[in-house]
Amino acid sequence: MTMLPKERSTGKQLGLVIDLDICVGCQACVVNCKEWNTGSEGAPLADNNAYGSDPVGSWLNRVHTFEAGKGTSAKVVHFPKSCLHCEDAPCVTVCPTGASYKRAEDGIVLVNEEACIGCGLCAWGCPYGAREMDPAEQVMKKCTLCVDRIYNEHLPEEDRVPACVRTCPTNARHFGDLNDPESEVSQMVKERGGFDLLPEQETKPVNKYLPPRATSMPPIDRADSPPSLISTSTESEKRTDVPVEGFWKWLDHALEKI
Amino acid sequence: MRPAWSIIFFTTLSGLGLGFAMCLGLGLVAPLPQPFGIVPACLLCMGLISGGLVSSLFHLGHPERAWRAMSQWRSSWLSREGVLASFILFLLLIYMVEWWLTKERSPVLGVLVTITAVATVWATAMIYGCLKTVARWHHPLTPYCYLSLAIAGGLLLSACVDQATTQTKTDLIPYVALALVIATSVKIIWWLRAGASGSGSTPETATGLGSLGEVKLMMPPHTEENWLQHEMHFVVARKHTDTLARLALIFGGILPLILLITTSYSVILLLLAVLIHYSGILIERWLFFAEAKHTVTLFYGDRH
Repeated sequence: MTMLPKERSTGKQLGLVIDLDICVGCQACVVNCKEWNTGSEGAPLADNNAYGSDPVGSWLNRVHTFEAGKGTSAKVVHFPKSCLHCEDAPCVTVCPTGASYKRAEDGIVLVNEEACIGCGLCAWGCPYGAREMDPAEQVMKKCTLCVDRIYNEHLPEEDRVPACVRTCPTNARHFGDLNDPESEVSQMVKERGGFDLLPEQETKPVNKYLPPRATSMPPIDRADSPPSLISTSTESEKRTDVPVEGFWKWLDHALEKI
Repeated sequence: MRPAWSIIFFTTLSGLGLGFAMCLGLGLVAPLPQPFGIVPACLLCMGLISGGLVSSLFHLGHPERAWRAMSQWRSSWLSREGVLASFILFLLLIYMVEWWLTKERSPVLGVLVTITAVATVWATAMIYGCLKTVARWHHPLTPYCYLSLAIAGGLLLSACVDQATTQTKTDLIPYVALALVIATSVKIIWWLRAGASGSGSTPETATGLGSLGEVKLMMPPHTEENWLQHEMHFVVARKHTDTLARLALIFGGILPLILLITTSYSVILLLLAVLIHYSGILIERWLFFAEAKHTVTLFYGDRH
């Protein structure tokens, strides 16, 4: 059922807290996420043409790297991103089949792959890019918060956390109940000023991010400070995405002449 | 967003069919003499609507499960669209059979057909209009664009069919002209208003790092394009969008209008006007998707 659970602000809201101060961008969480989830319940996380010239695959967790600020005060921030298990999850309400749902008992957003028609509308509804279509199965894939680990009594106690949290070598990822003000994750968010991504989209994400701490070295602003590492024309501006074969090439030229 | 032909044909074909259904429901199209009566017109209408629905199946990863999409009408506009589109096909069938057998149009059923057709077009538009992630779609004018274009197309097709079935001159021409002017104006206002509206989302709000200064993508998460980028990071050059928008207005509105004014109530010319109008709507719909910017791209180095 794609209606959101009603009593959500009182129940458990399991989620992640990601510390942007200490993530080193090693991609271990990305790899362990893929490894655990490709072998779990549901269809594997496929990769097509994995060793070819243009591989595509579905991943539930990816690490971006951003530069924030300018000159010598600029910071490089490694930025892991997976499903934020939003309280007002737009991906759930747009689903026409009821395959996408948010669990009332712990707030985890899941996809029932048997009912998914692969229309992709949930991915259009998600502002974060947390959902990816599986290239082989043609069903929507997303972070399950390792629902098959966290309640799994066959695993040792310390392994009953999401794979990304378990594997992080710098302890940048934390798992817990964000609705319990006494939980370790809630305390962390309170102390460090944890924030939401894209708050203006009003999705009320459960996952929180902790900001990079202020540097101990005062920033030096000199006239000859090094320029940004990134050129201003980004890759997207260079792309035109106009197919250049046959009819399209002709149309492209024709349009330029009008 | 990457324009998918399956969705372009889904929204345009069913839009035209539903606009035609609105006119059929109001009894604007004269029936052929018996034995066929209103049957050919109703079949054409149902054919257009079902053609659109069949086209939408090509967008699905699992079309064999499409029936499941009827279940979540309480929250999902896509589901509502599916339910309403199926319902109107059923209504049209009853309306047609009743009219054909009794040789009398049922005005009650007709009004029901018209209302359901309006609701279905509204639902189609809201599949996109409800998405906050695409600021230009989320504009309140979006459903009015879909609706006014459907009405204009439906009236134009009605005039053509009406002219083909009556001996006298069809009296729909002034209404078609008015609908075309309104639809073209609504679309221009949408382009100006919705095109300028932003979500307020930036790479700074996306990453929450705005307090440190401007945020730029330094390294993407992977070397190759992923599904998200393929689906949502579609870039079309500004010079092309301007030209295509002009072509959409010329083909969708202005040329059919000129043909209407100069037409001597010729079925062939009216049919030509319908085809030209439809090709303009195809361009309009392609642009509707191609120009749309999704917040996901903020994580991949875009700034809207």
